[in-house]
Amino acid sequence: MARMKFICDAERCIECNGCVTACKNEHDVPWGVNRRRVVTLNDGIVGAERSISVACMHCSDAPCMAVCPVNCFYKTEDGVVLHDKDLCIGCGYCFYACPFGAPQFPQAGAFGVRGKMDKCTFCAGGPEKDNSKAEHEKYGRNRLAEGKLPACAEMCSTKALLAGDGDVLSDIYRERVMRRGRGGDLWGHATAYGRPDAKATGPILQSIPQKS
Amino acid sequence: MMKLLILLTGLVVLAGCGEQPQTITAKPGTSAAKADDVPYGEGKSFADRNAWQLQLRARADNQNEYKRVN
Amino acid sequence: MNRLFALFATLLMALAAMAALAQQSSGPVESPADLAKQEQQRSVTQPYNNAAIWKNARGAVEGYVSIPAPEAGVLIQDGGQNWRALRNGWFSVIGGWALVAMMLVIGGFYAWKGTVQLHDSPTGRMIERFTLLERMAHWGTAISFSVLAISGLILLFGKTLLIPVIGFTLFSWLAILAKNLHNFLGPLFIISCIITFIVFVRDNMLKAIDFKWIASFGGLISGKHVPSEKFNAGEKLWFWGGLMLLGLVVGVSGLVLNFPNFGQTRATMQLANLVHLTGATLFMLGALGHIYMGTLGMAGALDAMKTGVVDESWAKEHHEIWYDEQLKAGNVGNAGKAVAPGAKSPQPVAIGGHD
Ligand code: SF4
Ligand code: SF4
Repeated sequence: MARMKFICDAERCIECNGCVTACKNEHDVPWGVNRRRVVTLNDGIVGAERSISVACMHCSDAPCMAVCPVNCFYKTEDGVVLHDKDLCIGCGYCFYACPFGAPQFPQAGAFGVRGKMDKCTFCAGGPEKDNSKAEHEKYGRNRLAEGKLPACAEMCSTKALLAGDGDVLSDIYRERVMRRGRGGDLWGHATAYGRPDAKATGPILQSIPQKS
Repeated sequence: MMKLLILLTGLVVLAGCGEQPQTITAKPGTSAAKADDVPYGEGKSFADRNAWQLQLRARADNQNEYKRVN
Repeated sequence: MNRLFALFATLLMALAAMAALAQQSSGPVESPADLAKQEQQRSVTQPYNNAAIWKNARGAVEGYVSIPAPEAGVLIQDGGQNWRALRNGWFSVIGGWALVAMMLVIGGFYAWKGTVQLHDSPTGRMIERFTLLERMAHWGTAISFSVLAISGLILLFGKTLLIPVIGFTLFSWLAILAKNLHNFLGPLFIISCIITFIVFVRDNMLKAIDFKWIASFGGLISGKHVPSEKFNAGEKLWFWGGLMLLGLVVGVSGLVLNFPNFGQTRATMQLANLVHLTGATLFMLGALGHIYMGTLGMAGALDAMKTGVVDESWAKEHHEIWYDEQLKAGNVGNAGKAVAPGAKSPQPVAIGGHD
């Protein structure tokens, strides 16, 4: 069974924000809502600058799911965390709980009243009929149903951002690391996909055993 | 009365021991209120789940430029 | 009694400590500049080793991001997981069972004592106890409190208790209603709390006599009568500890959550939520007791808040010092005719139609 994941390779990301733009365009995401963003650490410091593209990581034991008061989240058979906007009440709890700051809220009234939550769907839409008008209006395009992968990763020019079945991605990444000879940091994976023995405060790095 | 109150406070604190496990064990493929639509089967783009998965796998593998360039 | 207070204080502090814990991010935090320097050296000596970059990735540093949203530059925030564990765990489990326990205690107490009736028969001479303004302030607060309590409980426990019964769609409507009521009545509740505070503060000053009342637990144990002013120490405790203190706690934390458009961070909102939960639970526990004493527990108390007047004997029995003052001031028997305390319900007064 496939387990859909994202990988962002900090050695490759050039902070072009192409993934952000692709996502906004693919799903007609409204103003103020950004399903994906690129964060640059040590900006401008030569040799220490790294960029990471981050969106919903589709966590295994998803905190957003755990705190939603109306239980509107669900997980597909492929491990994609989706939600039902018809049920969402816009309370913002998923936003408090999410480690990656993925849930977004269009402002739906005065004083910052939150509208229905919006987040990365791994280009898999929502509970409506695949690629129906209703689904497109609420969640954007359903690329997965068309046999395609998330637009952000597929158009990434440096292939820093990878999306798809975790096994395939590991193979790609392993090959990369082998060619580099060292360095197998997988950013965010321990937080999102966890390790059974890892405590909440455990290390964030999950290293792939290196050959050579 | 005093003893009763202390006893009760104790009981209330003890109630914390009934804490539920915090792990979400959502049944995969189940939606909260509606069933999620799948892209395979009768009249859909893919014959069965396997065909769909194979397509996605091939697509994921395409992200490996070492395979594509050489 | 003092020991009991100490116990409650400890409990409160423990909760606060847990809430504070939720804010801590893990691991030692090194300064971003140091780490950047380390990484620069490392990129020469050990290329591809990015450990120094990721050391602070869990919320300690904010990177550059082109999106002008608060905290968009934070890669991972740790507090969310702790908040989730505390909210779904200790806070809701203890709070929920505490409410159930309180209801059982009150039920048991009612079975034991029943409604406290007047010993003397009512004289029919009425005294004004609450002015119209006082009653309006009280009921404004009471009604908004009840709506807030019920909607809050729906949002916290509905997922476990209601969804299995009424289903997802219906519960979602209920939750949207609850959320909107909660968000819009919240500020109103704060205002009515302030009005109630101003209206009642003069009669709620703590005096030496109150400590005597507390020491004998309102004469509950000894059965001996303790005279009290317009408000007895129990009522004053509810005024200061409930209306004022908990009102402040719940009000401030509620405002932090209600208006997310001031750029407050998630850590602030997580803490505010836990404080809000704690305060609201204590508030509801107190309110259960207060409502019991004002309705089922004590004959005549509800009528006093409904009509504003009480019978002479009721005043003498429950608030002797206040009664003596009223007697001296010549106020006894001045107030309009009202129902005798303990009688069923007031007869509706026909408006007009008498010619
Ligand atoms: S990244 Fe956030 S929104 Fe996505 S599954 Fe995890 S907790 Fe939920
Ligand atoms: S904002 Fe919507 S999805 Fe998020 S926790 Fe609240 S109801 Fe659930």
